[in-house]
Amino acid sequence: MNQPTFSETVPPKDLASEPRELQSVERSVRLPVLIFLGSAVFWLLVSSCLGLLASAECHLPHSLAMLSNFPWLTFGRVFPAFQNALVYGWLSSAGIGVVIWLLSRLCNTAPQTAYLPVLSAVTWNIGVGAGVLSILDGAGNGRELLDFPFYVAFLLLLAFLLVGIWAVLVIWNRESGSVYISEWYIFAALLCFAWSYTTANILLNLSQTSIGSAPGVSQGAIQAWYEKNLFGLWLTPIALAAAYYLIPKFAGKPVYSYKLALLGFWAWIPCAAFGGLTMFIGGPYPAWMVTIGIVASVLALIPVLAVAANFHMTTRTATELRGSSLAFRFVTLGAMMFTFYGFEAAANSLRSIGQFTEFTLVVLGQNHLFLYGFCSLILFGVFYSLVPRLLNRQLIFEGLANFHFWASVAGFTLLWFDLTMGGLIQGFGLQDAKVSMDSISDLLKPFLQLQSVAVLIVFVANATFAIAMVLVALLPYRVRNGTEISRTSLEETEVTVA
Amino acid sequence: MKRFITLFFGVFALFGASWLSLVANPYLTFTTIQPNKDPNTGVVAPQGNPGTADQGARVFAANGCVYCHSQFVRDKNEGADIDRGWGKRRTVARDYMFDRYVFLGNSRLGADLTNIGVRQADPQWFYRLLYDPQSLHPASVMPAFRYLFRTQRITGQVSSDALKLDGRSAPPGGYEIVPTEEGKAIVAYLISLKRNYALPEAPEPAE
Repeated sequence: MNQPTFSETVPPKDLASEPRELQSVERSVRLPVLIFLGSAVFWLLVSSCLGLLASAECHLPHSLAMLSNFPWLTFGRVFPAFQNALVYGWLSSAGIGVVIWLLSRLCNTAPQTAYLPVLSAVTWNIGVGAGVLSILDGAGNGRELLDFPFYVAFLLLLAFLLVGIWAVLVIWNRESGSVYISEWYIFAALLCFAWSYTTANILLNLSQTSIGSAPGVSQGAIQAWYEKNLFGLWLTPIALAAAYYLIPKFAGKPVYSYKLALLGFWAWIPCAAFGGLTMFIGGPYPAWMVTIGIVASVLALIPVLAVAANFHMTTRTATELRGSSLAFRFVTLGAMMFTFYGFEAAANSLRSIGQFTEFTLVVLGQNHLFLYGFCSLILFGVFYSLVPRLLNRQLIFEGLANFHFWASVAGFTLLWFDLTMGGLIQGFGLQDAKVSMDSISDLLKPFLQLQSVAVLIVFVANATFAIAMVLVALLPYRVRNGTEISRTSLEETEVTVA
Repeated sequence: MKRFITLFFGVFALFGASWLSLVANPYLTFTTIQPNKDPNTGVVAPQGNPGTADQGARVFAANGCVYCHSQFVRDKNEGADIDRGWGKRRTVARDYMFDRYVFLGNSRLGADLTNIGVRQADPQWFYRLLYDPQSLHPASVMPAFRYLFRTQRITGQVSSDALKLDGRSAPPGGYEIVPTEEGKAIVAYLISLKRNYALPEAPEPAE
């Protein structure tokens, strides 16, 4: 490796210093980014409603018995619809929006191809909408996070291809120079998602092909491989790319260590790609396939800690925070949750612990620690700094956004504790054949009730977020000069290196 | 661009290695599995599934049963699955070789279904469970699947597969509740779930 230049650890320069050129870069992607982010907020609300219903159905099977006449409201359809709306509707739409914005900022090129991501945003949303409705209508595949029928997966891939072509054009035309850390992550995310989503859908969901659907238990292996990639090599790199972009800006410092960033990136890719089969500990697989997953999940602590140390040292040495403290809180807390998730995933992958936690609510808690605690919190931070900037408005009613922060932290913490505690009790019960399944159900009831309380708080938080975003978009207050915007929205400060 | 080329080949190689070992490799190895023929008795196992089971597997998938029910049995030293009576031995790749849709599952809010067809062979039991789960397991959080059934006026004889219900969920007089085609298919699928033959690679553990 060459010696790092400063710009590999420093996000690009202040907008204000080169107003005309940079504004044109941002303006060229303004529309597609706003469509992706706006629709993401919509899908967040949809998934929150579905999640609340699914949660209530868990402990009220009797009171909601009249629902059992409506197939589209049954738990087995509402729950996957919730998960898919959350991952493909909210996290992925917002993620693609962030990718488009970051790539155009970091490559500093504005190709005249903004219609590609606009087209992509429309296709993606049609796909997610059709997918969620198909699941509710009973056309789901019953494979976690691959529930969308094949034609929907095809639409999503088409949308993804359009963004991919745009990204290649942008990278191709970029100004020569160093490649910033966020760009590594975005590049890996685009490549790995396209690869794994295509593979998984062709082998699992495309019936009657010449390739033939995957035989027997290889279906489970491919499913586990895909799910781990979706989390580790699609959602994670996008969230980390955003954090690597925003944290140095907030801190007004370059990234602490280029070498730690390298380690955190290159060690993470194999650890995530090989870590999937810990999902089926004791399953019908040769022992080496599961063992490789356990080793990868434990080794993943190295990149997780490298990233955590890098963020910590970057912010620790900062004398004052620049820009919105609200967005900073979201992003740093989200980044901390990534460390926490890394430890929990490593612990649950060990055979001695995993045999108690697999099949239980602990797994659900771990997934939501990742999806909500890590990815969503970072994306909230991105929204609060990016949306006012793109709309040239100010974030008003900061109290509302502040409430959103505390409500999401409270709701999410309660949800995680509840699922983890309930899951451990469930796990110890399942491991003792003397405890009947009926008594486990009885023991779980209070935890399932508390889960609904937590989901309700998260729902309120998400709704508050949506209101805050709508207010930014609708209220006619425009920022007339550049100095005002810098008070509340993302301050594009130039990071100077002493 | 040079950096991007390094980046591309690096990510491609690392991710490609996982694709080869965790996708291509199991795909190819599990394609070549053959059923086991017992050298003494000449019994071949596993047998293929009846055609109705595949239809039922689609219903199982569409209604998200896999989000609460797993379908694999762990070895005795890895869990209480065998002690719970969910199977006499662990399940291995060969058990699933004829299944077009494999639902291993990672949640056990409900019971494991690997051998549900061994434990319950009576369709009436399944119909009752699907129509009113709490009438069999009062504490269960399983939702009712009334939409897999229809209530119809009895004309002449009572249908042979009409549900024998009493009390709260019984139909009004002169009417009967019968499973729809989907309801019959999923029950046929569940009854077909039997992995109770012997396989040399998974001997039954000693008590």
